[in-house]
Amino acid sequence: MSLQKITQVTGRGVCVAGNDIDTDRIIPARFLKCVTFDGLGAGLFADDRKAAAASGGVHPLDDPRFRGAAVLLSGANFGCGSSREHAPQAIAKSGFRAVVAESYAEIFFGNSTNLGLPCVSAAREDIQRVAAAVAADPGLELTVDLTALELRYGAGSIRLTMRDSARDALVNGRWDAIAELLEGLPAVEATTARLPYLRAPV
Amino acid sequence: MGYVNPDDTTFSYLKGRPYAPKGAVWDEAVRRWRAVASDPGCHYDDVVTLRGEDIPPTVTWGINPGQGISITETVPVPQEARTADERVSIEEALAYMKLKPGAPIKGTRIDVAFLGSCTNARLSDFKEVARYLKGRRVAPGVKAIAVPGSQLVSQVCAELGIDQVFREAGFDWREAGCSMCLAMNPDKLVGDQLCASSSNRNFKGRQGSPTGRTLLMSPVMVAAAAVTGAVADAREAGVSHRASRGCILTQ
Repeated sequence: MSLQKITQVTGRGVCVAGNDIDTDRIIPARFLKCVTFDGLGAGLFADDRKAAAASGGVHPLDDPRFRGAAVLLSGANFGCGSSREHAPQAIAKSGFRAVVAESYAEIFFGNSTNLGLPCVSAAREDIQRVAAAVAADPGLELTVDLTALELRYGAGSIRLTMRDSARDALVNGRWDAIAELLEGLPAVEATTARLPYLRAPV
Repeated sequence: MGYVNPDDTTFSYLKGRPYAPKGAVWDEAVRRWRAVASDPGCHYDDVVTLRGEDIPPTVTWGINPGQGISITETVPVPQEARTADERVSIEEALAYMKLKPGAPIKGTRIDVAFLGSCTNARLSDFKEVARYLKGRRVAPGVKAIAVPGSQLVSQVCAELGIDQVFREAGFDWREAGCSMCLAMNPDKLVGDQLCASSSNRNFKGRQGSPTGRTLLMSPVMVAAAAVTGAVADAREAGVSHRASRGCILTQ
């Protein structure tokens, strides 16, 4: 299998603060009627962005200072709610190549990993430190290093965590679970034949 | 991860349904399914016992499904939060839901009643709610819609005359689909309407309006809210959640 080995992501950052950011906010349901995922980036946080504009503010994703950011920073339980694959797709199609949050909802994390979008975790105060540095200098380059499990920025760095299975899959270019299964088909068949409850009906 | 051991209840539900195996293949399938059940006497890391009959009807008041209380309880007060995070999340939810902290959830006026979703629009749900709705009417000013969770449920409801019971009660009886669970079709809340909903998500904007408000509850609780025009305790109207489960609708 020749998938890209994702060992590190380097780019500018943007922080969408808050805990429990659910997938309906990440990509509202009306955008799910698409036939392909290509245009999904336009719907990313669409209602939050509209609401921010309507109240006279500006959503971080619409702030020109953070345009072109590749690393999305957020809070705890990111991606909870509806299990739509469109959520990580919309994030990836918007140009993000990594997410750094305190924690993730399980299905969102799995969907992201399967798309080659690393979701790494860090302590709240560490993320806040990086977010403050990004706010002070939006051009600041961040490096999410999956091998060293650290995020380096300017003169500092913070520790990252990521479940071993996901990290191994990303850094070894084995993050497409279906391709992985197909590649291991002989082993799957051998195991199936051995397990009494999985033997094909006679 | 949720897992329920396959048992006779599972098999009797599946038997004879479309796509279920038939004849000798069925027997073989049941044999295999039984083999994936946990061994008797197996060791579990943890055992939690819940008594369904001890859980009163539950209603959400906030903006995630975990923010729920029993029908007899009051809307949380931020000052009573156990952690700073929880306090922030209660405050955010109260601001969005426009509910008064400390007020009873019962009696909260609703605008819309939605009985649907793949989660809570099974045949058993419609049978239970039809028993409740007989002889009752949706309150004036409440928009009530019923959407079967599948084509099959829709078809059987029609055969049993359940659709008619709903229509006579003032419900809009719709084709099967997702409808107001996630508002991909024109079934949407308008403005900050408050909806009693049998779906399973209540995130901000979930029902199609960025300011729309959702109170999640069971199907019969949605019906009770539709009939009274406010969040109500369906048990008080003489319909027990448990007692009516699985019984056959008598025409």
